[in-house]
Amino acid sequence: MRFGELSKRLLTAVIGVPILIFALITGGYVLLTLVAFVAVIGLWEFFHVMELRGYKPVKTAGYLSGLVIVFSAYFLQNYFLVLFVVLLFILFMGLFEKDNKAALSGTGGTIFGVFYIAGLLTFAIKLRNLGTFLMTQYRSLGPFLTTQHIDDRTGIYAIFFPIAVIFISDTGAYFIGKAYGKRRVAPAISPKKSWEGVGGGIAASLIAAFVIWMIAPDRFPLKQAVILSVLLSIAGLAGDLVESRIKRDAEVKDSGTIFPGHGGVMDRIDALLFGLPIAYIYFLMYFKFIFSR
Amino acid sequence: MNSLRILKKPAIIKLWLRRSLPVYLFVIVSFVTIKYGLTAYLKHKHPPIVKDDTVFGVRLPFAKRVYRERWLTAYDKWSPYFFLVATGIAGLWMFALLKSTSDVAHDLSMAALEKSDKAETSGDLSQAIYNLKVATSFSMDDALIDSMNQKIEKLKFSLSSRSSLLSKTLTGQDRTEPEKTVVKQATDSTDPIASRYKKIKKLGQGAMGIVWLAEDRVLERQVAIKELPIHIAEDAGFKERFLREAKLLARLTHPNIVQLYDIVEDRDVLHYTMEYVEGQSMDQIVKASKLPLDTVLDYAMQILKGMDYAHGMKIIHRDLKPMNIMIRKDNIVKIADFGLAKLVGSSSVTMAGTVMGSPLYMSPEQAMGEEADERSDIYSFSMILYELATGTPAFTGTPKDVITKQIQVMPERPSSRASIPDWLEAVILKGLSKNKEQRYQTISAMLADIKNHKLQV
Repeated sequence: MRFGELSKRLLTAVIGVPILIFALITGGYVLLTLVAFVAVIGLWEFFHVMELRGYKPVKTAGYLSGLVIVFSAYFLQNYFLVLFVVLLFILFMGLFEKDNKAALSGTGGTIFGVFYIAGLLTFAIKLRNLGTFLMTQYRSLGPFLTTQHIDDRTGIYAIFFPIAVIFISDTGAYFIGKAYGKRRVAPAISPKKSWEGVGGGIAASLIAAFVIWMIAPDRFPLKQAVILSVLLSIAGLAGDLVESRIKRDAEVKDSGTIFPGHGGVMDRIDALLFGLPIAYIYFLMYFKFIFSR
Repeated sequence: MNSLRILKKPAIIKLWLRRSLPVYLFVIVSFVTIKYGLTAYLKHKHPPIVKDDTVFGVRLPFAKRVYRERWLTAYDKWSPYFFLVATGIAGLWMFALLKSTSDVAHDLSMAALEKSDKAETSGDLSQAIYNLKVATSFSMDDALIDSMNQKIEKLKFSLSSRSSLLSKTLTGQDRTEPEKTVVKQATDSTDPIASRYKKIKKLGQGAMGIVWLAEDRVLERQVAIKELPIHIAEDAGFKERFLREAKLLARLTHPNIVQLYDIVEDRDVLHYTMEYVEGQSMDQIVKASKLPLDTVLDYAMQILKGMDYAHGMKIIHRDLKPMNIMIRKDNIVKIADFGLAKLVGSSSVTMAGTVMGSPLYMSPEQAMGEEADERSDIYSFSMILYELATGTPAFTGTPKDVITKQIQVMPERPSSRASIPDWLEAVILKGLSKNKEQRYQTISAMLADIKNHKLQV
């Protein structure tokens, strides 16, 4: 049996998606492990891309820093100081590199990679723990003075919302763009993206928001879901383009071959990297607004 | 698994998306049913709890305890399974449609291939190409697609070689069988433009016709195509004059003039193919902001150089205006539509529905309906220079007012609108003399004048 590109893709999805869903629902250490794993693989691919381009990443410090950021996001409520410690650590480890010419490109690239991949991925953990976080934050209020219901499932909702919306938006954009795409969005960066596809993606994300609202009507109002889904759809496009731009610089097509048919881990999570922080900020602002009323 | 390959072919995806209409309906209906049906059932099963918040029997005035209704908790728990089942059914249905769509696409491809063969034998090349394209877009057989593509290229080449007026006349083909080709082009539905050029986007719409950005498939370069809706096939004398003029224009080669590549007739529309200049037209630039003097003089000199060259070849622009002057990104100025006014204006056929643009740059003699000459271009250029230097057009008002003013009124002194050097004002006003004998008599005189003053500055 000969497997085409798409069939490989489908098979990978059939195996990978249940694992992902299981980790997202379970949360806790399972999700932490998954995120740490994805961050390390992503960094590995990123460093590989850097080396292809001729830069010299500070690898060991990079992996360590990525793990430290991910773990601190899980164990610490406020981990922004960790980010600066990590920055200092990478700069310090750069001193032990032999090639001084790689100071700016190598060390700078490493810091960028760690913040871009591991830093942005931490929002997956933050989103999953949003429910418990809100509960601890507002416990002092006693009985909630609002009709908004909060429990651990709020976190499940918060992590599934951006992932589902971006996935469905991507799929919609792929089919509509493939079938009707004419006008190019950014021919210099990614020649395959068309405005028709973007429109299809936004339409699909609206449908996704509506369906999610049907499944869990009292977690998040429909109006907010619609606004957030459009934001996520655009963020996903931006994330895709950012990663394409990086790949274009290194002149590679896929960032790796870890998942058959899917390119590298980076190709899968590039849209999410932009979507997760936006979703987190939006949810946090919404709930803070609700509870401060 | 092979059927998944069709997800790469746009035409088949379109077909699939269209055939999936019942699935969309199913999803909408089933989701709405699940949402409202489940809600109604669970509300019936778990009626809401009504409880007063009281402390020692006294109801609290402000605090309100809100219980999550039990039906919602149950809904949270069960609804995902229902939705998942509905989605799964829809997904399987779409997959089944995908499989049958590949068969339908194969049939369509074969039918189109047959049609194409028939059209080719009857001599209708463009129909054959169209059907071949349809066949390739639906076919999944790589070897067949390759051979069909090769055939398309072959047909396209024979089509484009018989549709280019200029190349035909220059190679002398036209003289051997003039009537036949003209009649053929006028009657059959060939599409020589579409077969040779791929229109990318609309660049603009002028008084004379639409301008397209297009890609030349044979030479693989970008060109601009101007569509002029006139007939040339009907009047033999006119066609001869037209070709003489077109050949003259094709000889205009200058860095400051937009190069004419080809003139192709297609279904009563003349396609004027020319160099594509990536940049802005001068009217956009003037509208955006007032230019510094250095830039104004730079642009003016470049325009004058182009005009000097064309006048040397005895070609007059007749319709010089900022819309016709393109400024490339590297600040090279290119004059477009040289001689087009004559080419089109001498047509015996009136162009219905076209309105002449602003008469702001029309010389008095043109406004009075007299023949234009080199000095008319000088007047138009001075008008442009006025606008560049002051940032505002010389005259305002309705087109009719402007025409009257062109004939009778001298424009305001440029220095009253903006601070410009005296010599430039003198140059502009000399170029704007109503009497053409009082203007500069040649472009080179004007160019020399400006150069001298610029050197002194």
